[in-house]
Amino acid sequence: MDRREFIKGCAAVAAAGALSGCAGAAENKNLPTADGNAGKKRKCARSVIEIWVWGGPSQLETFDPKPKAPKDYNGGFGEIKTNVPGITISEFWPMMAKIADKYSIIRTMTHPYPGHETATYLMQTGRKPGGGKVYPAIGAVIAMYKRKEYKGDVPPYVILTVPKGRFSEVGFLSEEFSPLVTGGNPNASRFIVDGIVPPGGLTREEQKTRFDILGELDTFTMETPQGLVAMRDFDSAGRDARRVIEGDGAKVFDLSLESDATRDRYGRTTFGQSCLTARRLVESGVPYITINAQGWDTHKRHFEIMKTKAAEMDKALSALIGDLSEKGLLDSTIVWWTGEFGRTPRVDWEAPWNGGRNHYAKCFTSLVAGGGFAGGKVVGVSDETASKVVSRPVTPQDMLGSIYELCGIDPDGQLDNPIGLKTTVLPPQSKLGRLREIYKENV
Amino acid sequence: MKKSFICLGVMAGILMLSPFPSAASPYVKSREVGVNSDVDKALAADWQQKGLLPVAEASDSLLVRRLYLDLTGRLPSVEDAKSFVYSKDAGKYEKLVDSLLASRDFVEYWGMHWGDVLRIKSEFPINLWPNAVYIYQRRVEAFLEKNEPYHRFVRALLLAKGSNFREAESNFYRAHADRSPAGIAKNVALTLCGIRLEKRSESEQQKWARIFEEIGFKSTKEWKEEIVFLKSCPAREIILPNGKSVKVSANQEARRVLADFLTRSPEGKRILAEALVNRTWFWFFGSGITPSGDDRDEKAVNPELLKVLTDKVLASDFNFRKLCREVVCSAAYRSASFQGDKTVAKNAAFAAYPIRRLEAEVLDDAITAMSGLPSKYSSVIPEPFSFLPGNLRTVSIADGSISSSFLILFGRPSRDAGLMAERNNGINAKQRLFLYNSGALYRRVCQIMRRPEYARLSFPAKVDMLYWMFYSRPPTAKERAIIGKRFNMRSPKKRWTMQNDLVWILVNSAEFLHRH
Repeated sequence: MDRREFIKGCAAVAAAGALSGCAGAAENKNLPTADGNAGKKRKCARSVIEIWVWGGPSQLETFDPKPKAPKDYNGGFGEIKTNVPGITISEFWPMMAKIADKYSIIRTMTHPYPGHETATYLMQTGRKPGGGKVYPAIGAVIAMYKRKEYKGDVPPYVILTVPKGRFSEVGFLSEEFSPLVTGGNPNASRFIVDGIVPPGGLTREEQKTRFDILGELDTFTMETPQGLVAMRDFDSAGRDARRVIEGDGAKVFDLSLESDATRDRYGRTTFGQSCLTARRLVESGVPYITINAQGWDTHKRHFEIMKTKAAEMDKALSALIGDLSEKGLLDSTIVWWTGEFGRTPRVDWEAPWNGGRNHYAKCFTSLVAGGGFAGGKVVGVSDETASKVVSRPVTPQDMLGSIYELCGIDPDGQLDNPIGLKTTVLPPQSKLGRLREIYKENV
Repeated sequence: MKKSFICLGVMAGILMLSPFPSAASPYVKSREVGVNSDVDKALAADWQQKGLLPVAEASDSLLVRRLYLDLTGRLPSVEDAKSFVYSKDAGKYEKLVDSLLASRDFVEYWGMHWGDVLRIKSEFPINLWPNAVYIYQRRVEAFLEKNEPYHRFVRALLLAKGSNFREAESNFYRAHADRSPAGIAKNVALTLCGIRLEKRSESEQQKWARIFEEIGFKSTKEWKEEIVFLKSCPAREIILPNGKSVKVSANQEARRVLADFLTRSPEGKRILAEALVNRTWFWFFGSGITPSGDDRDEKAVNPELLKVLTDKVLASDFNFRKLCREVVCSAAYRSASFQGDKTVAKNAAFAAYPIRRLEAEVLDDAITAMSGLPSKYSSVIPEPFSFLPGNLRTVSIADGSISSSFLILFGRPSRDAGLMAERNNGINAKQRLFLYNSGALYRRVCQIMRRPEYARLSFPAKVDMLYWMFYSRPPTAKERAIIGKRFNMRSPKKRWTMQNDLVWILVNSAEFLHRH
């Protein structure tokens, strides 16, 4: 079966642009289909959780350990067996080792750009920089194509908790698909999501009074003639925003609704509670959630930092994947863990680095779980120091193309856009590189 | 012309279709704007043809707010607004226009507009690098400050060469995401002529690109320094913006041929002036005389208006400030945004000043000016990091790469393509969520109440002051009554919360968030 047939295998919901359509998540299986034959249709991923390991995580201390390499490469750290025979991961990840059957590791990610901005742009858009157009990140594209299917009040693309910065996620798409960046700290006693939770401990009643007085005092709107586009948009945006604040939208961010046991399971850290928030967002149907995990640009004191960072992430990530799986959400949710690149395999022991690793894009590791990706697999082989791809290189376009495909979006289809640009979702490329070997369904 | 205008006014009176809202309106005067200049005549003729009624003049509160916002990117201070509104001087409008045009604030704000279209930013995808950004932006500000004739400024850009750090104008050839001859051609045609090359024929595009085949770049031993130099090129056929092909010999600078055409020949100067007029009109009215503001192939909404203003630019030897003055002194600019029926048609024909959301930078600066608490900006490139001083206005940030999540949220342009359309002044739910409830925003806004000149006032005086701050007008009797009633409804212990609520209401009001 080729790609077109595969995409057609997803029941068509809409034929616009690149949206190939799909049967959606379990509860949506009664959606109308092109040929009325929903039973045979593949289900597409409904949501994506992107865990952006910002700065570039080391492939060796994550999921491509090299215990036999010299100490100048592995720093003296080793591997740990997982619950899947034959797969080992770095010793920093004992909890992830217990659930290796639920995720797959890609050990041969590769691209040519070892600078943060350019690499981030490439990993997020699948495009090389330049050419005067700024392409949208995958989150904005998926938010756009899933907007009809998703009916919630919270915007379809949410970033926890800080934006990547100096990078326009929405590119040339409509502002509607730009991310809601939460701000705040989900690990604080109260997660104050910027814009959704009023500052200063205002009660719902007090907030309602404010809206009432705003309405009474709005002389300007009362005198403005009807039908002005600017004012109509202003009012409808205001109503949408108010619905998020006053409706159930805000509850999704209220972590006090979770049990202490659940909160502890994810770890009482900003990253851990961000993962828990992401699971809550998935439950309410939000199509794309990014968690920007900070502090992985470990030029200096790499191993010391890894000890704490990896432990924190090991707990949270394993809890997230495990929890999604137990709740039956993993089949409809892709979890994508990646940095913009990896780190130099050879450790720099000299001052001022004192055991640091620099940027490295030639060979690095990503991880995927759920949403149509099989678990318990490894894609690609790197050399004995994780410096080079030995077999099966995977480009950023291959990775993005696979996620799009599993979401029911044709990576080679036209990308709908408001500026009238004739362009495809990803640049035209060989379809061979997509991660077919770890799709759950045979294609 | 004047006669027919009066006739229309009389007719409107007879038909009881008075366009003037009740006398109590804080927004509109009970009189029309007179038809005075050639610009007014060109507009009035068009309105008459389209069956649009004459317009009422905006109130002085609106006019002073408009002039400050449009010429300087600032809200008028309480004192500035009051002194204009209460002045009985018949020539106060023109006097204010002239003083604002001569101010440093004008240079900073319009430097932002020109920085947008010249794509001034240090990093991806333009990659000017910070030192080059600052010298280039200072050059743009010098053009505005000295009111250098625009065609001379353009000539300096087109003929630039040398180091990006030392010869400011050389950055004109560097500020392109694509620095191939075709990429440069596309941007130069857009920026100077309003020509969208992508819409033109393949052969025209190639001939445009050939002009810039002679532009070369080389690095030096200084980190990130780059020299723009002229390469020798073979004889070739290029095209001029009027569509005529010209042969250029091997030892001739093709770009000089273009510069001579645009800045010295009557035909070229007209094309340059039209592009300037269109863009300037867009900046004041939110849409151009050809709607995109930078596409001369579009149909003009009012061709006579374009001609009149272009003639004026040519007659004034490309005096940019004079062009701005001409626009803001026009009847259209002084008209109210509140025009009863047909407002949509009126906006399209520039018969009413259009309502638009404040730009990201202007909104941020307005909050800073009122609260005294500035946003902090920094750049992490190059190391060591630079931190911009707090007294620097956001509109004056030279570098499009220095940004904040606030500026991104409110549609600051990316400066990647230099299109007018890159700035997004639309409104969306995420922006309104931010305005309703952002903790960071309210930490700043609440500083207003801690200002000493505010804190010692009685509650009614505080209300007055807030209205002047946000709206440049006093509250109406009805507004005062509503606030008083709401104040009295609260228990004495809770009354202090009324001012917090009022500040929140003013921040979230359409009247504050828009130009109108």
